[in-house]
Amino acid sequence: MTTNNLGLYIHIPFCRKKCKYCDFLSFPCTSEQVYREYVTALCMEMDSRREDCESYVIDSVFIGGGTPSLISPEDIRRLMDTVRKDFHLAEDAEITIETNPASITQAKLDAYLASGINRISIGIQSFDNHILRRLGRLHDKNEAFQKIQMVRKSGFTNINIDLMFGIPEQPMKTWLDTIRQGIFLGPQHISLYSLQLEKGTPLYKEVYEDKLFAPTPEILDREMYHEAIRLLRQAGYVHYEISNTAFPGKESKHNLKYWSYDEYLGLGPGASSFFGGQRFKNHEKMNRYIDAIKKHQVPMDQRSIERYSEKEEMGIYVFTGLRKAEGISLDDFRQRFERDLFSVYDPAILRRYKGLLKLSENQLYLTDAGMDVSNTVMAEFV
Amino acid sequence: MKDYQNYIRNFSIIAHIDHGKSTLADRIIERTGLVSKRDMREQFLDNMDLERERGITIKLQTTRLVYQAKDGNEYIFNLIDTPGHVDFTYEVSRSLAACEGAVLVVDATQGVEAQTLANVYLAMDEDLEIMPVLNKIDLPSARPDEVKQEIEDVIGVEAMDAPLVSAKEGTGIDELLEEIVHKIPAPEGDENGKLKALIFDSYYDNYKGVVIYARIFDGKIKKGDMIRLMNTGKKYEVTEVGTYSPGPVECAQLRAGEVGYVCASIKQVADARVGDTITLAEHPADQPLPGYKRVQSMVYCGIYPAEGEKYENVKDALEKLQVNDAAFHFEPETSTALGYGFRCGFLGLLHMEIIVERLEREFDLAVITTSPSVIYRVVMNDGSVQMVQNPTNLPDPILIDHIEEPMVKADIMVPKEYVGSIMEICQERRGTLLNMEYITETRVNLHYEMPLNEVIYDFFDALKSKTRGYGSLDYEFSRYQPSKVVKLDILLNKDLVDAFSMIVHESKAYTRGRFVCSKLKEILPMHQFEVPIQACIGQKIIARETVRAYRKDVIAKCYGGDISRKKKLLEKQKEGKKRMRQFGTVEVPQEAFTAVLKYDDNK
Repeated sequence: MTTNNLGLYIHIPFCRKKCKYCDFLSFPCTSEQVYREYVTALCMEMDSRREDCESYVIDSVFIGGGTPSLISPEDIRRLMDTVRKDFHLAEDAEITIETNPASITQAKLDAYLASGINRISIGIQSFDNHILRRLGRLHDKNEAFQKIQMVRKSGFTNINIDLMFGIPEQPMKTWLDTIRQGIFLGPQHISLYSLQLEKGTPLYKEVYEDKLFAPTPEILDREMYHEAIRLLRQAGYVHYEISNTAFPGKESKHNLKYWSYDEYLGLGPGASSFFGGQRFKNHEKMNRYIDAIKKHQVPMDQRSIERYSEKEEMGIYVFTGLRKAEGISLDDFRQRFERDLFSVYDPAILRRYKGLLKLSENQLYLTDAGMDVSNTVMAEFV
Repeated sequence: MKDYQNYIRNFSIIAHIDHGKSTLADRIIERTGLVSKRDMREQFLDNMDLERERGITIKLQTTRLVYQAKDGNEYIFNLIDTPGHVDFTYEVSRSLAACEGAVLVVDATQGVEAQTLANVYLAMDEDLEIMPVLNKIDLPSARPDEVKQEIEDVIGVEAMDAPLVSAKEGTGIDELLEEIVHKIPAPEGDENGKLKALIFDSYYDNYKGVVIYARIFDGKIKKGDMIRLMNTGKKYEVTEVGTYSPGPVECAQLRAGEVGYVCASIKQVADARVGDTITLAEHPADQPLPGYKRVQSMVYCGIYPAEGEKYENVKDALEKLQVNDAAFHFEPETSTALGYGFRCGFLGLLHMEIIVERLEREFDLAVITTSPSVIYRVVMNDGSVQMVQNPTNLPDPILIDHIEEPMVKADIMVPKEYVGSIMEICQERRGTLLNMEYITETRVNLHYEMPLNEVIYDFFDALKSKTRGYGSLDYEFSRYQPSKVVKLDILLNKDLVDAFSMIVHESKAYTRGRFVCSKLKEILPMHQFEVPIQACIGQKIIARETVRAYRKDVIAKCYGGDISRKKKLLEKQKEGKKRMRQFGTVEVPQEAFTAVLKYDDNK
């Protein structure tokens, strides 16, 4: 490892209600007591990782979910205190919490700031009430505006909003309005996600089984993406990763770790880690996770441990790196793996994906058009 | 007749697929104490996995059994197994020629089938004693009396006393074994005469070379003998003789009437052809045994290494298969679309499928096969004749006077309620009804003359599908007949993909063209550009489809750092890609080549 920095991901797997498109690991739960007990478990997990992390400096923390903003101010404080107690937290660490506008309160925002959280990510998704209802979100457009204002006034200077496009029967105009309003509100970071209809979600059923809505044609989805990127660039945002834009210098450190072959440790059920050269996940089932914690064991799911060959790790390095607009550095690749990238992969790939994959000044990267079909290109490297 | 011959019975078991031949053979072997029940793999005689899976016997295995009969004597049973498919008629006939009798297994629930009949006729041609047995007697739907009557009516052999057995449950086997002793004649032949031994099977052994299965008709053969194969004329020195029971057991000699194996350092099975006669080089027999035929491939196709597969590996595997399969042959060829590969000849479509599957399973090779083709007799304007089996080699139409295609006589046996739909599919395939006979009140035998080209395409699938599996087919080559056939080409993104070219009858060209285009449209993945698919005859486009372009193939979200999940997704995508073949700018999945040949019920 060239760095001993570590990102910490803390999973809060609760939601008041699951959104209709969501297939992430979260359960509907509103019990304060459950939250409290769960945070206690997380703290114990951190305690159990204390020694393993001795030699690391935590330079990013991401409290994600689920809906972390459901957690009480005290519990958030407790969580952050434990982070500081168990790990070496860098002075300038990026510490993010994911929030749902519906559960943001002034008291929580104050607690976040007080406990050192310096970045907030708000799941806005859309400024259109029809679309918000279709997605099964808890907030409406007005609340979205209010809460963004509230966050700003509280003193956060690093705000992200998540926006979503390609929603069934979402017109281009509605999407561009959402983008324009997002830009107008001026968050430092805007994520834009093309909705993936995942099997087993209610929205998938509504579209593909009940046929209530037509899925967004691929062409429209791509126009939405490129048009949004164009508007965001005009407004000064840098498109630094497939689904992320930010003002220069405000790129998410934590997000970039995933795509830069950096280490991260995931806490909570189902959380993924790349730690000590190993890739693994925690138990996904809450009871198994809790059981392990109670027995003071690491709640790692042994079956999830992946031992990849060097060639596979090279593949991971390349396909994750290609998500970033800057792509990957051939020099960095050589340093890490002691091989030239094009001695491992056929240089003919460049010809085959002309216009999609580019090599310039020792950086290999996807063009805007290449990002549309990134999987096609990435599949060449796995 | 010599004394020892009195205690030998040489027989085959003949049956339709699924009628339980292999299970019955298992029971006989078990009952004669050769293999203990515990050690026995199911269906002992079928020793290739592929055969097991399909429940059919392709490669013969011959076994010597010792039976303690009720008369107090020990009898040697030489059980000579036969393959069970139309493609192997010649092999079946040679195996039968090695016997004095045949146990005819008929499923008591299903009755006589076309293939049973075909094999019975082969047995009758060899003057064998036919001994019917009713199997599956344990099933509630068994109707032994009716089926006995059917056997008498259709085949014309006495069946009223036929043993009733359940090979599955092992009932009736003792009666059957006694019947074999009493009914099947003992072999004859002069052990002091000039050696005449029939080769009815052979296989290649890494240590011994080719191992020949032979039936000695006259004379005897022993280690050290110089032998001559009368049809090929080649000479060898015998290195070992023996019998299989079931493993090889060397013995001093094989005498007239006996069955066993002969090794003579022969390099490949093609040198010891089934049907050839072994004699002694010093005192040769005057005449070889009758019935020898050269193997004639009926169906050809191209076999090419799939993307990422090495030509040499495929070649090695084909060579290994050929060593053991005299009916299979191949030669190198090239295709502009598929590169270097091989043109392979087979006895029939099943034979082809078996070879391809063995390449994939036993040799773990990924191969692409092109449309199977028959051999056309192309008569040129100058009167010369060319035999063409690769559509790509069809000469310029201007130079051709006419083309003749091979016809077969097909016997199709079906329950009468399916006659209508069978006539329909035969009609569609340019069949001419020659004759139709009611075998029983409910079963009909339809005699058709059909172009082989139509039979190899999807006829068997269609037949099975239209008759819910009850129809059976048997066919043999009859003659060449002038025919209006044309070459149908397929263009992908304006480029001709020669591997898809096929020769079809003019009247079928449009339907086939449309079918192939729509099938390819289903199968071809979306590209980043539109891909037109066209079917043409010469310059004329007769069908067209378009695969629309894809625009999006991206995962927006990041699964909270779950790289393994993303990796698996990409691997799956790559796996799909690996099975693709690049044609210019177009990627074609391997299955496209076979899918365009498959019978489509809904078309």
